[in-house]
Order: sequence, then structure tokens, then C-alpha cells
Amino acid sequence: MKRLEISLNILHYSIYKTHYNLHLFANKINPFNLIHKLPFQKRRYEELGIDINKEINRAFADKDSGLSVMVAGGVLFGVIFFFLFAITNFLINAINDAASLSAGYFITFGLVSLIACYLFVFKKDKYLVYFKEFESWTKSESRKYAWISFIFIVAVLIMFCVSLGWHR
Amino acid sequence: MAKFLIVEARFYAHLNDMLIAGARGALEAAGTYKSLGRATVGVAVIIGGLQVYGGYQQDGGHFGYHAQTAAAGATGGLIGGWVGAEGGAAAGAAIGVWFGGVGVLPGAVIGGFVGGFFGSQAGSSIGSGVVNYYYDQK
Repeated sequence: MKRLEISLNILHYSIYKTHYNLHLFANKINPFNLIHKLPFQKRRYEELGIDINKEINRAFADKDSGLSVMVAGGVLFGVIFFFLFAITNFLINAINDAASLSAGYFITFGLVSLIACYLFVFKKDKYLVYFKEFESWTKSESRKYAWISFIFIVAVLIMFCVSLGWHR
Repeated sequence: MAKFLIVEARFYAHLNDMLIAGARGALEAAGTYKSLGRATVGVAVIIGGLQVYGGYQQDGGHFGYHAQTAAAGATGGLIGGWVGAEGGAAAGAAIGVWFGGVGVLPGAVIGGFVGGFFGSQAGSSIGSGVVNYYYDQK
């Protein structure tokens, strides 16, 4: 169980980091950032003594309730759901070729993924403890786990697609 | 779990109680919108996948028109959601600065959330629209 908890937290952290890095990349090409170059906006930022780009980055990076952590939680929930979906679809088609998944299965997958996310990641913001631990990773460790997480998500997507057309 | 320390000097007990209730309410609201944000993203991802599955069934076990429309819609929805969140956060922060300066962070987060939602809807329509256009041209 502890291993599952660590794995889910690594996945959650990697999604969070990826989303935040995507945001930093988007900063370079986001046309909405031109709003901040308007003279009256600029004056307001100077009055308040803030760097608006830093503030927006904070809104994404905030580990407690930022945008990236919200997206990471939602994506983690979806990844577990599709992992369960693909495995069950393979098994069901192995038993009965004409079988298809019904609403009951989807509700079960949803509940199981919700419970897994809640117990291992979200409960009492357990993920914050793991985030602290993972932040001490070296660059190579960080890259390694990011790749493992990426490959896992792509594998789940491929499994999902293959399971749609898979028959005994 | 994030811990908060609220310090109070109880000269006017009823005023203190109201202030503490307000602070508690704000903390609870932050927790609620985090859960809401996660749920919105999670449900959007799952619905996209299930629509692909439904389309695949509708096409009689082939990756035909319905499955392609659903897949393009789901992909467009994800991309649109991301683009919308980026645009919404920038716009939200720009609006937020006019609310006493404390509105920058909430403005960016709310803007990102709203932008993400509408971006996802628009991206989904564009995605399925592209497939429809392709089939119309055929």
C-alpha cells in the first residue's frame, strides 16, 4: 500500500511540475500578456509595487490551491479511471467477445479512482509532505521520474485505445 | 495539510467571533474551490474518453465518424482548456489588481478556472467541427 501511495504521489507531482513548466513556456507566447503592457495597467502595477508575471506564476505554482495542483489532481483521477477502464475492458472481452462496458462499470471506476486519489494523495493534503520530499530530488532523479510518469500516462492512453478494439 | 494560525485579541468578543468566522470561511472556500477545480478537470478528461468509447460503439466497433468526432472533440477540449486557462489567468490577474491589490491571486486563479472551462468548450467544438468539415468535404 505504501508503494502505491508513493507511486501515485510521484505521478501527481510529475503532472504538477509538467503543467507548471507548460505554463512557463506559455508565458512566452501568451497574447493575453499584452494586457499587462497597457499604460494604465502598468501604472497600477507600479502603484502596488508588484511584478504581475511573478504573481500569475504564483497563482499556478501555489502548492496548496494553485491552478497546476488542481489540474494535477484532476488528471491523476482521470489516469486512474482509464487505467481501470482499459484493464477491465481487456478482461471482459477475454471472457465474452460481444460484451461491452455499461454505466455501472463507469460509476465503479469513478468511485475507485476517487477513493484511491483521496486516500493516497488528497486526504489532509498528504501530497504536500511528498512534494516537500520530491523537491529535494536531484535534476537527474527529477527527470527520471518525469519520464516514468509520462511513459505511464502514454501507456494508459494506448491501453485504452487498444482495449476498444481488442477482441478474443 | 496546510496549517493556519489565527491570532486574535479579544477586546470586542462579538467582533472577534465574526472575524474568525470570516477567516474560517475563506479557508474553507479555498479548500472547496480546489476540490471543485480537480473535479472539473477530472470529469472533463473522463467524459472525453467515454465519448470516444460511445462513438466507437456507435460506429459498430470501428474508429469511424462518431469515434473520430469524439476523439477530436476531447483533444480539442484539453488543448482549449489549457489555452483558456492561460488566457483567463492573465486577464483575471489584470482585473484583480483593481480590487485593492489583494485580488491579483484570486483573480488569476478564478480567471484561469473560468477561462479553462470556456476554452475547453470552444476547443471541443472546434475539434469536432474539424472532423465534420472533413466529412462534409468528402
